[in-house]
Amino acid sequence: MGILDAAWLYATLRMGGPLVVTAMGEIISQRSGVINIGLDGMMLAGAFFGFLTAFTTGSIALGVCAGIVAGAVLGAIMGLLSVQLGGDQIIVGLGILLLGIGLTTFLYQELLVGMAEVAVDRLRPYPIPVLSRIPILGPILFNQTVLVYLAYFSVPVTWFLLFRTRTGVIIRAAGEVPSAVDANGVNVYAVRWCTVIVSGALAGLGGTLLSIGQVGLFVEHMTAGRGFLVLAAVFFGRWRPLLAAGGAVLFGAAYALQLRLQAMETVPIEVWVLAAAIVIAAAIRGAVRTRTRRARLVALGTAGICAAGLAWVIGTSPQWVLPSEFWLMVPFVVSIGVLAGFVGRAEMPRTLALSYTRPR
Amino acid sequence: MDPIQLIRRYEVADRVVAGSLLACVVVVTGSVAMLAVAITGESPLEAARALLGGSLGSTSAFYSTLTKALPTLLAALAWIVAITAGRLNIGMEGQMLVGGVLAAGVGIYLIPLPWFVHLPLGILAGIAGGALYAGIAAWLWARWEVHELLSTLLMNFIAIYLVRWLARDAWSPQPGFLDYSERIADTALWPAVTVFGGRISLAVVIVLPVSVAFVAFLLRRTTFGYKLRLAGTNETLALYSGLSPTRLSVRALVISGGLAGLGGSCLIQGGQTARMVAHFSADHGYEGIVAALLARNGPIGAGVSSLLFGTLRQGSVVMEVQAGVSAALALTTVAIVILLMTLTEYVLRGREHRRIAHDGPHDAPVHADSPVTRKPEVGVDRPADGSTRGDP
Repeated sequence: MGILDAAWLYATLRMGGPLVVTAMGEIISQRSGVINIGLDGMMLAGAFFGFLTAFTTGSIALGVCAGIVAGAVLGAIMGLLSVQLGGDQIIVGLGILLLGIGLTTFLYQELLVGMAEVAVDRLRPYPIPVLSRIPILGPILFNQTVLVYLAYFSVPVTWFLLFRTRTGVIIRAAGEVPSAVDANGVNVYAVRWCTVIVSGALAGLGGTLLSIGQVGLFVEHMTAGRGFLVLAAVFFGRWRPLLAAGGAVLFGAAYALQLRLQAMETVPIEVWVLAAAIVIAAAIRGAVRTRTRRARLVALGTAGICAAGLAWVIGTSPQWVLPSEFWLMVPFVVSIGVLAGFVGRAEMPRTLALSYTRPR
Repeated sequence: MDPIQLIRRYEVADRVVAGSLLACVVVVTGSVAMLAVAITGESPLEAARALLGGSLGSTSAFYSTLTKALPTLLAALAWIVAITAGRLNIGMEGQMLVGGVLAAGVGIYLIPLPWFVHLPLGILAGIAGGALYAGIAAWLWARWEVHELLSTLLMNFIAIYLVRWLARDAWSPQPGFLDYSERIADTALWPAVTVFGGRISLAVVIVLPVSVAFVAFLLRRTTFGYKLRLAGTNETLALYSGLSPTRLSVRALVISGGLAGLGGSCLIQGGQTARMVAHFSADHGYEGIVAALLARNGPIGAGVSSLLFGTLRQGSVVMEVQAGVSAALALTTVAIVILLMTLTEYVLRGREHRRIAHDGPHDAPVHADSPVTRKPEVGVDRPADGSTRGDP
């Protein structure tokens, strides 16, 4: 029974969904020049208020709306403090992050702890009529929940918005040369307000995908750093929706992998092959890119050691058990590795993290 | 009027305004928190009494507050060193954890050693661990252009899972049943002394003043500190003065990590339990950032603001036990303080704008923009060899 099978791919798309939709919001806001590092807090707010509403009213649709609104409200706070009043975006983002964690934990403990059966029915998959019949691909791609479809649908929409509409030009210009936008009679503050609120709303949607969409309950700090992975995906994707979505799905794959590995008795051989392949590829790439002879030797040496280790593992197939904490690290290790390996020529929005002050 | 005198007068006025605004922020936040308590059905008065009595009410309570303020202070100092060079180190949480893990490893497994070897060895291991962990982020930034904002944040989680595994599994006396580590040898722990009828760990008595003095001296009275400030405030000028902002930034990050690691070692070696638990840094790292910002990135002021957070932390523990109010409220309060603080900055900037509109730009050097509002360009930094890889 392989571990990298169809079920894994299915879970990859399912777990990548929240990351993808949150990443789209973040791309829009960063393209307009506002970096939002409080994503984790916004996702948590969406997850909590979405779940709370769905739990009390019994309506999942209402829950999703509530999650989106909760994220948007945090986005509006961010807009007020960092766009309107020119506060440092990093600091405000940190405040939003801690507010999201603190508020949801506090409210969760006050409102929901101690009640019996704090769960809603998990969203059921909705197979798309014809497409889901396609062999192999159908069950993976077209048997997801409605929210997951929605999450992936946000990718082309974001791409179209940013690169094929007048609004998109304005948003991108607000991040590159805000004074030019201003000179053309468009209010930079209004643009950034909108993008930040949209970013918050989409992060809220991402949060509801986690709580209502995936597990049907809320856990304290259940995002566990997913917001930071989204940031990594956006940087990795160089502020392009398709590439960033790819990064988000990659992290989703890491999540899906670790979830399945936690349940395994021993570490399956595929994982060793995969890990070794990634390290060897990275080392060879490093050897090609590096300038000094010594660094090249180090890189090639790493690749060699890795290959030898892999050969040894395949030869002896040791029955090692790794604790679950190591699997939980996987998405974060992957994200740092990916950032180091692929950033290169980043075309960052030029005024990212700089607040705009209208000249008087 | 002499422009220098004018600026001095403005600075004093600004400080008064900033101070009173901060007082307002604290009062407003406090009332919001008490309102939240009232809404949940507990008595706000009782909660406030528990919070203040439990943190400042007696000598031993005050000492507990100091003990809780120390890691926050070290995280604040770590942030200050990094931000002085223009780097955003948000990974104090992870650096504390790694530093603490090494200190705990030394304390648990390097036995028997006499105390005058064991204790310093643990402290050094803590500093080294934090510096190493921050060094990885610095290397990733300088060599691979991974912004330290991202790498330090992501590495926090790696450290959290590592510590969770060690505390619950690898170093636990009964893996699966006890979720804390073996006992740390007494020789590796800071001794406690009795002062004014309360027990206080020497970690607080010694590390607290020494670390503040060290950072204040390093940044204000040494050439290295001057270079750091130059690289942080005007990268181009530093570059043309023959300095390498990248190299300085890397050093600043490593020192910053070392300070955070010292904080981790204090949590382990100066704590009350002599055991390592999962996530023992308990958000001290994030709180430190807020403490530093409250003090407008001054080391001595950070001592005072850390005390505020120590009070809040110690008080909220007592509040949870006595008045049944969730300690998560304290974190919410911290978040609201951060958000309201940006308002203070806004008011101060407005004062400066009006002043320039009134007096015209000063000829004398206007004091540098507040480090809080100063933004390093995200991601366009040059690598150490001066090549322009990554530049647009």
